[in-house]
Order: sequence, then structure tokens, then C-alpha cells
Amino acid sequence: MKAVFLIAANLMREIFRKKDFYVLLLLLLLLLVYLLNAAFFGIRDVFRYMKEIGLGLVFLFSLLISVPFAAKVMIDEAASKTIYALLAKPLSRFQVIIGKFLGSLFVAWCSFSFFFFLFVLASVYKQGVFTGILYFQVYVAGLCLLLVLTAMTLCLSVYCTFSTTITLAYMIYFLMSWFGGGLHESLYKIPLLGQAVYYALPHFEFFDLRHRLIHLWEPVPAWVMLALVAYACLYSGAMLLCARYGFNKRWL
Amino acid sequence: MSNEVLILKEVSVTYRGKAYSKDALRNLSLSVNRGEVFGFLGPNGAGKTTTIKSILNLLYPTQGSIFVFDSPSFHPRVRQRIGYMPEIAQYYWYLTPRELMMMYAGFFGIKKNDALRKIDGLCALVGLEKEAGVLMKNFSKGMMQKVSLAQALINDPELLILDEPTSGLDPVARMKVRDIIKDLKAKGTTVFFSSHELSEVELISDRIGILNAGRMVTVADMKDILSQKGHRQSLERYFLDIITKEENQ
Amino acid sequence: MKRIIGSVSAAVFVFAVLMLALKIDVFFYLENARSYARQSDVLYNIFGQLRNDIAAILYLKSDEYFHGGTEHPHGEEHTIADELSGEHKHHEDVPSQRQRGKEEDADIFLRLDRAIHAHRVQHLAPDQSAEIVPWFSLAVLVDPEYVQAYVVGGYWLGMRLNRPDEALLFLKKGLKSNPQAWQIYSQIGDIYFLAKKDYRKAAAYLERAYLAMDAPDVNKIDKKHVLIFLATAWERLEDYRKSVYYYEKLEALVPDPDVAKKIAGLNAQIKGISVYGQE
Repeated sequence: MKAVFLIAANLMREIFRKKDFYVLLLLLLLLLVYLLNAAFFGIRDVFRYMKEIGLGLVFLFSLLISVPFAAKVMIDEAASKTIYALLAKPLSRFQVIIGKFLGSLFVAWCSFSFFFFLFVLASVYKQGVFTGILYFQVYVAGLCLLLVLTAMTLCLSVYCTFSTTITLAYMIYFLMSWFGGGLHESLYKIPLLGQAVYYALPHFEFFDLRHRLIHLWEPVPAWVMLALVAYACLYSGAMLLCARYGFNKRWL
Repeated sequence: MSNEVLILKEVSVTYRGKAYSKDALRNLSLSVNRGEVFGFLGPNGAGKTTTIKSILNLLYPTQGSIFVFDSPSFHPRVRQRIGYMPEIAQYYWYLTPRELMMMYAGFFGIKKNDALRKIDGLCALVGLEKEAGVLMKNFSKGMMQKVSLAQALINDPELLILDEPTSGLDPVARMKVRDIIKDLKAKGTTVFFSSHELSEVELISDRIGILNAGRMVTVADMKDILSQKGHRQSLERYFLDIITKEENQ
Repeated sequence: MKRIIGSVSAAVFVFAVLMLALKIDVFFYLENARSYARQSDVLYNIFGQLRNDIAAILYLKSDEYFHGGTEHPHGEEHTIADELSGEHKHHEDVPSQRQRGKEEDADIFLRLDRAIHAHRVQHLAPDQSAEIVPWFSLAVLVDPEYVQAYVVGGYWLGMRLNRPDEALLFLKKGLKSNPQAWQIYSQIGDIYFLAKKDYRKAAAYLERAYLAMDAPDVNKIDKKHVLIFLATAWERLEDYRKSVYYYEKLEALVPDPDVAKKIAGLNAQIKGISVYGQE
């Protein structure tokens, strides 16, 4: 276990020693400040659009960091041959996969947390109200989303090139987020194959609780949050097992 | 505990692509004794790096078996006693040599204070005292080679595998590497290394094996090679004779 | 230090590019529109359509916000513009699109989806109505030729949020990019009539709307609306001849006994004035 955390901890150094994260953080800050001060037709006390755009930026910037990062950890390792020195140590290949996954996940979560915190500050300042439970639920759902996305991207990176991995990861994410809700009507009716595809696809739309925060709906029940966490853990586990299978068979 | 630290028995490795198949190793058998320095030679494409990768479980033999310290090579715990210096010295640009070696030391279960002392000693040994805390993104090839050698020694290995250890180094650094290998041998470390620098192999090896087109052509004692009658024999001349004979057959 | 300076510079640069890019792009878009580039340039057509789609998405956001953040099906009998322009209390408290279907047919995934996304439809309270306004502004920012966004946005500002001056500014800005849009003239006229009670200006804009309504796709209901307001505006301005003129056009369009009576009444007033004038 210690080896896994060592790999993860060292991987996190990369994101904080590169400029990308800081550029996105500052850009988000500038955009939030701009949104805070924007007044449409002299009307200042409108909040929902600011929450919608702000939250959208938080998730977008988190995706911009997490997907390329997760896509390249294994590919870069193999391409730059650093994998040889790593696997010459008393580590199994699965430990390397888990370590890289945890490192990528912590990078994604850290970035998301920083961005989300900025957004919460801006949103509470604008609206003057802090609906704690809703913010918490959106935050946890976001963490679960990144858990599944990181695992899926890492799994894809074991089988595909870097550009294919990024393209597929973004495509699956956006298609499921936008159209996932309507899949039940179409796919589910096809027995066996349709249902298998329906359950196999990652349902990113489940983790999108933003509209509840934007429109101040009531919080989701506790069983929904538990189900989201369970789904995220199970799906990620399946993705990591797939990655393990592919990586174990690979000649380096 | 047997005297043979590394045993390869009838190992074959075949690379298969969509439209081709290549036998990189063909029924290779080899053993390396405890405490000896074994030079592994061969022309380009002979299969030297493939052999080393098979030993480290980076790729899987199509046939045959490999034992390290009497255990099958695929067990991760076997690598607890191995140090490896890869042919291409590339490490993480966002780490310093000290951070890299701390991570590797952690894999071996070395405690933090011990690891720090070891790292300082190793950096002094390879000539990286000033660069130990500098990010590796701007390191030259020679500096990376030094990092590569230092990280291979972090766990005081009983078996040290070096793939082209002096590649990219200036003559002074090469002499340093030779001295390090001699010191390790004096401590009882087994060294298995591949190289194209035959003059260096001649200076430090106890035994050599010559590989050609995936087959082990010959394994011989260095003393026997150099003491052959009627010639002012050198390893280079011996190597060329062997390879030429192979190619004419 | 270098990393901080580099990061700040990069962030500021990207921010500036984002802020300027859309303005520059819109400028060239309108320039091309005026030179009829859309007919011949493939790229212009492709990106023009993309622009339209993005603007449509932003405009649809206003409908989503109006219904409390839910997607709900629109009846065949009315459009989104009608939704946003009228009272549709019958849509309130109905299940949203995602809630439909039998509960017993739902598997765990569907139940989860409904628990997260489904919500009863609820119109925004009057004090929250301003929340939909930014989306009109953003839609026309992306597509300055999106007439419907100007019209509906103008309606909400002028009639619902009691900001007629802002509404008129917004609508007149729309006229700059859409000088032939009768819908915008009509809405401006409505606002002058209903909110500002400036019947002369209302009449001026409504006349321009009527003149621009020559196109065959203009339906009778829209013409009727313009004609009623025009006729009434002139009536309020006590120019009965012009009022009768437009009431007669209305009668010809959609025969109505009440309109006929009105014409008769106004004609009588004209004669009465004439008599008094002669005297």
C-alpha cells in the first residue's frame, strides 16, 4: 500500500509544478469577478445565471485538468521509458496502475476543490445566502464524477493512444451528460444487448446536481447520495480491473 | 542457497506484429554466479535488451524459464534484491534526484533518515552533490545517466543489472563507473551488464557471453580469452572473430 | 517567481482574448451578413449555423428558468415564445419530462435519474422573474440576428419587470442588426403604448411594423395585434381619420361586429367634429 501512495504523492508534485493549474485557477477567478460585477439592464440581483455559468466553468476547468492528466500518466510512463526503472522495483503492475490512478484522482480532486471553493465564495457573496447542504451534495457528486472519469480515462489510456483516449473520454462524458437521461427509453427496450449497453455505459448524468443548486430545489435524499458514491466506486473498480488486464498483458 | 544468482533456461521470446513475427531470443540458456561481473555482448539487434527485459518481467518469454535467487523472476519480491539501470536514462522532469530516490527507497521499505543518508552518499559517489535538489527537466544526458546509476544502487542490490552503463558519458565519468563496478564486486555484488564498449568490458568482466541473432554463441572466462596462445589477443578481436564465424555459417 | 508571473500573464491573456473574441467575431459576422456572404461562403454558413444553435440553446435557457429549472414538453398549441409571453398556469405543478412514465417499470438507474433530475414544474415567482433576463442578452450577444430573443426579452423587461427604458434600449439595439424585423417594431410600439403611454411614438413604430408585414409568412393574428394597437393609438391621439383607416383594415382582415361598431362610432365623431368645425 505504501508503494501505491508513494507513486500517487509524487505524481501530485507534477500538477503543482506546472503552470496549467495556476492559469486555470486565475482565469476562473477573473471570470467569476467579471460575472459578479455584470449587470443586465441595470438589474443586479440576479443570481442563477451566475451560478450556472460559474458552476459550468468549475466543472469544465476540472475536466480540462483531470482528463489529459489521467490520459497521459500511463502513456508518458511507457513512452519516456520511465516505466522500466519503476517496474524494476518490487512492485506489481497492478500497484503501478493503482498508484497512477490515485495520483491522477488526487490531482483532479484538488483542482476541483480549489475551483469549487472559489465558486462558493463568489456565489455566497453575490446571493448572500449559503445553502450548505446543496453545496455539499454538488461537491460530493463532483468528486464522484471525477472518480469515474479518471478511472475510465486511465483504462482507455492502457488500450489507446493519447489523442484517442482524450477524444473518447470527452465524447463519452459529454454525450452521456447531455443524452444519458433519454437512453432508457431507447436502449432499454432492446432486450439483452440494449440493456447490457445501457448498464455498461458510464452514467455521468447522475452526478450532475448543478440544477438543484442553481434553482434552489430541495436536496436529494440520503439514499441517492449513497447510491451515487456506491455506483462511482463500483464503476471505477471495474475500469481499474479492465486496465489491469490490459496492462498485465502488455510487453514493455 | 545456490551459487547461481541468475539462471535462464531455454528462453525464447518472439515479437508478433500484425504482419510479422520475429524471434528475438532463441533457446537462450545462461547462468550468472554470485559475486562475478558478467559482460553481456552482442551486435545491435542481437537481443541483449530483450534478455534484460525478460529477466525483469517487462516482457514475457514465449518459452523457457528464468530464475533469480532461486525464485521465478515474475515475483515482485525477487526485485527487492535487484538494482537496474536502464539503457535509456529518462526520469520524471518534475522531480529532483533526491525526490526520485526517496520514492524508490520507499518502495524498498528503507526508512526516511536512512534513505536520506544513502541518497547523499550516492549523489557524492556519482558526482551529483550540487544537482541533488534541482528539477531534472534541464538535466543533460550525462547527468541523467548518473541519476540512473545512483537510483540503481539505492537498495544495496545483490544483483545489479546495467544496460549500457557508460553510454553518453565522458571518459572521466566512464572511469568512475568502472571503479564503482569494481568496488561493488569487492563487496560481493553480482553485476550483469551489457555494453558496446569492449575495451571497458575487457577491463572489468570476469566472464562474458556473446549473443548473436537471439542465440548465445559463446560464454567464456575473460582470462581464458586473453591468454589464448599465438596472439596478442583482445576482447574486440575475439568478439569480431566469433561474430564473423557465425555470419559465415 | 517566474512561474507566478507566467501564470498571471497567461490567465490575463486568455481572459482578454475571451472577452474580445466574441465582439470581434460578431463584428465580422454582421459585416459579412451585410455583404451577403452567407449565400456563397461555406465556412460562413457552417459557423453561422453553429452560432444560431448556440444562441438557441441560450434562449431555451430562459424557458427552462421560467419553469423553475425543469424541462417540460410544450403543447402543440403554443410556442416557447407564447410560454414566456403569457400566463400558462395550467403547466404548473405538472410532472416534468423526466418524471413521466410508470414507477413500477423503473429500474434502479431510472429511479436514480428521476430522483436527481425530475421536479415538478413551477413558474418563477414575480420577484424572481428577472432571473431569465440574462439569457436573452447572452443569446443576442452570440447571434445579433436572433429576433425572437429581442422580442421576448423586450416583453419581459418592458411589461413584466417594469423597466420600459431598458426594454426600449434593448429592442432598438436589435433593430440595428435587424432593420426589417416587424416583430421588433411591434414590440417597441407595444411598450410605448402600454408602459410609457406615449401614443405618438407607439403609432410611429407600429406603422413601421405594419409596413414591414408584407411577407407571406406573417399570420393574421400578428397583423390583427398590430392593427388594433395602431387604431387605438390614433384614437387616443384623437386623429380619428387615421384610426378609422386602421380599423377598416382590421375589419377587412378579420370581420368583427365590434370593430364595425367602433368604425361607425368614430365616423360619427368625425362628422360631429366636422360640423363643429364648420360652425
